[in-house]
Amino acid sequence: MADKIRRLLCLYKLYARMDLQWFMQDKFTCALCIASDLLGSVASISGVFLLSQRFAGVAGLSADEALFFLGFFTLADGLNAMLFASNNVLHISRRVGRGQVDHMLIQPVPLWMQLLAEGFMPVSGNSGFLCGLALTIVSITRLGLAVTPAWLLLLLACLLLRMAVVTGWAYLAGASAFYKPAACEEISSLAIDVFSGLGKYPLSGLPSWLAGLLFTAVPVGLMAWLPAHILLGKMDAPVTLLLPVIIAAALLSAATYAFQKGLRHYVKFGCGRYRDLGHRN
Amino acid sequence: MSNLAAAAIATSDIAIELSNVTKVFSQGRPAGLFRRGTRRVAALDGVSFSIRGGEFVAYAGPNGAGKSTTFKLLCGMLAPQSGRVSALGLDPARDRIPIMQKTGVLFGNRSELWWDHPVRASFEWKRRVWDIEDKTYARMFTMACDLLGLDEFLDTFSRELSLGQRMRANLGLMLLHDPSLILLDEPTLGLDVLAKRRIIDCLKRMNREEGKTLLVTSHDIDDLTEMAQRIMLLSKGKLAFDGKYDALTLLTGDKRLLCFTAREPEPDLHGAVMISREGDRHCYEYDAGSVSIAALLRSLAEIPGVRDVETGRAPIESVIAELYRGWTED
Repeated sequence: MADKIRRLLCLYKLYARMDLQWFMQDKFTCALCIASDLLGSVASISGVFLLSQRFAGVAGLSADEALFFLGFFTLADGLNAMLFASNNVLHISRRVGRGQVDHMLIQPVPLWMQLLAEGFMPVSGNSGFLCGLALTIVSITRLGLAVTPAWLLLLLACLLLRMAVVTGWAYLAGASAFYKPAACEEISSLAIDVFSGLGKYPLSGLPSWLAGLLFTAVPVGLMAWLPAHILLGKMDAPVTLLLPVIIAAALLSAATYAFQKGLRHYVKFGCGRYRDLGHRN
Repeated sequence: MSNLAAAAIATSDIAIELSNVTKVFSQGRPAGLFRRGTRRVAALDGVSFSIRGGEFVAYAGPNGAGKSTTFKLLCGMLAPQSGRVSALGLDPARDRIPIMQKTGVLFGNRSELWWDHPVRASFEWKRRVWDIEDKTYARMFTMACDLLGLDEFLDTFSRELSLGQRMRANLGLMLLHDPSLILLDEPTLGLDVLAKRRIIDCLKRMNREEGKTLLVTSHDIDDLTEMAQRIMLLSKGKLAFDGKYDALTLLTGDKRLLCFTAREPEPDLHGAVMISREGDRHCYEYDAGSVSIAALLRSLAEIPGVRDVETGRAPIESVIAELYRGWTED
């Protein structure tokens, strides 16, 4: 196990260095990419933010609490992007659908280790994370929240659970590309878009059936709404945290099962489609 | 790598073994407005062969014969429906990782290079991912640079390489972990003469001096003839020939060529068939098993103005083309 962790850390270091090299080789383009990502992150939450400013709060949250909610959303989204967005690791259906799993199978490294490490982009993919971190810090300061080690652990747990939900969802949907490579090439991206698009909206005041749906079957509410309420002390942490734990565990288990089953199908039938795009693009 | 896997690699004299391997694919096709039918295609149909360590084997066959499928089976990218596949004494479906530590694979239409990085960065990437020892890396890096002339574009972005440079860089990348088994699927595809020459020389040296086992596919039979000592021909998923080139030429009869220069437009040579004519130069093909060269030369002596008579074996390319034609018509 220690050997596997050492290999994994070694791979993280490798991909971090390659990401830095990419930045250093073409600083202007890279800066442009980071700036547009940053603008995109800010623009995507600006609607809810402006509403909360105009009406001194939104959906039961004060303006500063709404800022914290949006900050958490951006921070978590950015962290997910920084860890998994590179080389289509999160958008896994692209790799599968383009017949490019072959490139992974020739590496003498377990697939899970490749998938954990290859998406790491700490330099070129950090804009959302930094933007979210800044917004979260500002809102914490304005709210006067007591940042204790226990609270930081809770924040970390919320971030990890949220990441598990999105990744599990993307891989569960992405496994369909093993069976229909052309039709399902973009399905992981579409699945992630559901969370990116809806996760930043306040979910209070919804009919109970819809709220139930958005916290379980399509767990958009776990993206920021529920974690923000837990972190702001508006919900009882141990009890409420159980829901994202269950959903994340269920999604990850289902995704692992579906992905392994899909991979067996790939090895049995192959993929009659290969797109020569450069397999990591 | 497990101790068991390492021991299997170390002790196995047979580098590749396929026993009665069958691999069938289903191809979808419309069978009406609302219905979709499928067609079963046997990419490999009961194929058996073995390759000893240190052999250089050519693997040829018409498009769709099952060559790439064989390579994918050997790398664990595909599993056979039935039969047994073994690479370096291991089962690719179960022992993918130990096999890939000692195997280099290159598909001519694919690239392992990092598109947005210089070639050197891809080499460094491979060094870390394959966990190559410093000594091995330094030796193979120097060898790859020397044999393939990589120095001139090591710092060029992969996306900016020409096709020949990209193939050379991919081949260099493939060699870095000092693989004992090398699988190359059309490594000379689309290359010019110089690039092809470099790659062929490099592969020959890898086999001769480093003792690597090579299995190479190509549609360029002349390339294969130059590189490999043994050729296997696949047709419709079956192994149609496995042996030396000399034996292959006998498959369609002992075909020979008789070329000469004469002013007569279509001289009649009993027992030989004219296959080409350029100006005064005529080339005839005959089966040396049934027609004697002496009889042909006697007939030739009766034709007025004959000069520059040459004889030789029919090129392997035409022998194989005739075989492919025969298989297609069956």
